[in-house]
Amino acid sequence: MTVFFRSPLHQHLLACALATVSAVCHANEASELPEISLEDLLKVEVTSASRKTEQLHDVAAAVFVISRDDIERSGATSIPEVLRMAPGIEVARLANNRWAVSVRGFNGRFANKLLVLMDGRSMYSPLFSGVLWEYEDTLLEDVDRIEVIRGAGAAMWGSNAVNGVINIITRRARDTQGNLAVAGAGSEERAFAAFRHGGEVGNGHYRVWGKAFVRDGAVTPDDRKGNDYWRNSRVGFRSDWNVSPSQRLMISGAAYSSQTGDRWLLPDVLSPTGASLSDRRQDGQGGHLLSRGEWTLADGSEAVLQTYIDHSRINLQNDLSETRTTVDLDFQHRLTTMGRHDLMWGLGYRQSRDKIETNDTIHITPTKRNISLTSAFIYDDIALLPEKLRLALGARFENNNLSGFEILPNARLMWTPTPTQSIWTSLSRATRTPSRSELDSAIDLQVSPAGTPANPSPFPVLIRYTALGEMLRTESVRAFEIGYRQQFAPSLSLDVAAFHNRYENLRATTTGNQQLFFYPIPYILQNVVPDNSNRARARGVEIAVDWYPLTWWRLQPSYTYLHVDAWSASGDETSAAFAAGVQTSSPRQKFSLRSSMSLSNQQQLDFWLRYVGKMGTNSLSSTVASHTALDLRYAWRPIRNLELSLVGQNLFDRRHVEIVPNMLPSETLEIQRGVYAKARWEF
Amino acid sequence: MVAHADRPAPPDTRGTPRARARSPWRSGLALLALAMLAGAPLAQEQLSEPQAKAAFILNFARYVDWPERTFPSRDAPLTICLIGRDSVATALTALEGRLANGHPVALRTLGSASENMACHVVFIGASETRRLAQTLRSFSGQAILTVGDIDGFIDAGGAIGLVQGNGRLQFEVNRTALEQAQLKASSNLLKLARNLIDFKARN
Repeated sequence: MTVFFRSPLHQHLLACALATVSAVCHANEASELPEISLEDLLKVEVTSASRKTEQLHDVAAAVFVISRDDIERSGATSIPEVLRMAPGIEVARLANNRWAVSVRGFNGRFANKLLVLMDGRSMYSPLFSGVLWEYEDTLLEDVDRIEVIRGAGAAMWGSNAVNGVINIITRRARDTQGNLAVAGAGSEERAFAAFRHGGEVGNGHYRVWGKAFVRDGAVTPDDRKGNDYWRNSRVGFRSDWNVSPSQRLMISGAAYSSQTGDRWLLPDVLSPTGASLSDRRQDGQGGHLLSRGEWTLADGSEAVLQTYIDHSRINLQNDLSETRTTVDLDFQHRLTTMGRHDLMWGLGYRQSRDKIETNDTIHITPTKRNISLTSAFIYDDIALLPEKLRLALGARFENNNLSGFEILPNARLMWTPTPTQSIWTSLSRATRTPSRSELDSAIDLQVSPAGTPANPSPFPVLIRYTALGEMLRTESVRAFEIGYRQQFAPSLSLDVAAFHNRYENLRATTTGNQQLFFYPIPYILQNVVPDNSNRARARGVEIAVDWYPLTWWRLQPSYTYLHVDAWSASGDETSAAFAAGVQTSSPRQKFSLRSSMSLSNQQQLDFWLRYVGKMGTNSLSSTVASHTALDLRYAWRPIRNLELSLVGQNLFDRRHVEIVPNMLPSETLEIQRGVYAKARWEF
Repeated sequence: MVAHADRPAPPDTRGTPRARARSPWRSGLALLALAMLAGAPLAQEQLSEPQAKAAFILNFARYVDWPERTFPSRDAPLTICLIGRDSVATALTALEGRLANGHPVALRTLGSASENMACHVVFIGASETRRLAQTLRSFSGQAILTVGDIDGFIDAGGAIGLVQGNGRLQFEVNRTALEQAQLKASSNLLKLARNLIDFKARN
């Protein structure tokens, strides 16, 4: 002990370690700073609970930042798994290759009220209006941070940011120099490997990377092996140049190929259960190229011009193939502060062209669509009382060739009574534009076998979603939010947000006409058609705490409460059932506790405990029981640049269901316990 | 002296995590309790982030030479200023009176960038994030060392940026910004920087 604690700093830290509440020791930080040379400073481990809160201190929105360190210590191997950390976010794993991710309710595989961006590129698919998580990935070691912004963010980010925005921001090429190799294997994570190389070129830096993995499938409740395998490979690059002191340029790109499996309960009038099992294979390829230029103009104002092109192909064996090309152009200009005003404006244009070919189960017409979106926004941040009270007023004006013109306004008020306390409130309106599949598809949903309680008739009933030519309006939300942040000590901070949202014109399905068919056997076709007949009200509270009980031990508890009331404005039976499904698509309560212990400079021990409350699901009246999951990670650095880690996931139970699939008739799967070992080498 | 990263690791005696279906809670909790007990004596040397930032700022001041005219006399104070709000404020007060190249350190808090009189070092606080470029501009052309840890600090024209890496703080230097401020950084400082940027043959 005396060897370790011989200097004044060490004695001070010992006192801290003995004090239960570390606020006591941080109070002394002014007087107790030891003399440390620059060389030694670079080796000192730094605890930084305050950093996050500080950056967020004057953001008038419910923001949660997931740092690179958080990602590394979670042991998570994909972006959706990482997102489980944020309060207010629901992440449910449908299978080992598919997720349902949403913010503040309305969850499902095609959860459509959340916008996700990676380095400014939208990952929101216009086909299903949602994120196809099986195609969105990057080298997790390259992610600098993930900003999770709950609440209507449409004024800033555009429509579809109804309940939230997730910004995945990757590291600058300068910060990823040298080589990195990662490899590992395990029970669920069968095998994975990644490599990155970073170097200098001219006045800038670059990195190139590649990764590949094979993941095992899950199991069905009746012990059959799921068909949810996943093979994925991806390559990418990023380069950043300082062209001149006032001009910077970033260019990045990536390409991927992904094979995933699925098994469908294909609606079948001939089957006594109404469905026949059918193995499906889903292939996806795609890539994008993005460039962003940033200028500091002569008057001190800042301009950003970003443009990207994204191309993707999805082939759902026999059922659907989609080819899509999206081009996006975005310009932003932040003026120099004029008195109390800090003004920003921007223009955007996006065009997304698709070609969709379909077969029987899913039918989409027309086969080609060209969606174009033009937008402009203005945002003024007004300092009503310097350093104390700020008002931000903003609005976005959007024109979409499918759904028309929208105004998306927002007002935010921020009060910072003391440097460690802030209170904010916000009022906003956001919309969601109808997706290609909602507008143009016919999908066989299920068959009710004859002579059952649900269908006492002598004929089986085939229920088909039919949207051929219906006009759908945009969904809209009016959101009220309030939040409070406090930094009690450098080692302890609290963030609380509460909201009340009112939704209008939510897309639902309603009872359509019936037809009798005689081939292959006599059956009734019951159409359900989309309309905007649902309404909903959601309210909730999210609490996040960041605490260092000891300098080497960090605890991050968070709690989410959510209550959604949804109803049908038309009174139609199908529409009412749809509302009931929406109401129970997310758990009412959620709790997460993350613990990170730096046992020494060479060893880390982390755990992550999650409780997810019970929930019902869409359409099928089954209920998903609550579950508690525990992940453990132990990491050891035998030498400076090599880290070996062992991760256990979902350790509390052998397997559990997280969500029942809706929309596409995939079979329900149970997520299993998994263990993997990983090595990371930097050289 | 602070312990080095290369200190040999104590033997790991805790065994690997194992959870059985029979009593997962109990085995999980027992493991955690064990881990905590085992972990406690290994508590290591760490600084809070504000303390580390303050220590870096003092060191930067020692590795940089200012033009002589910026000091009225040999023992005139070297003034470190803080602009905006930042948790480093309290930790900075520990620097008062310490010596940097023979000059005692004096501290000052700036309300706005226009009050930059007589600062040698300016730390740009977290609250300036939204107007970083503008704030940096107001110090340009003067013999002032700008230091900050806002994302993209040196790209926006700051001289020394503090960045996080592997649970430690590191720094990056914008040599062009140092030149324009007529400051001379010692080669040791540049050697220890994680990154150096400059704009060769331009501007």
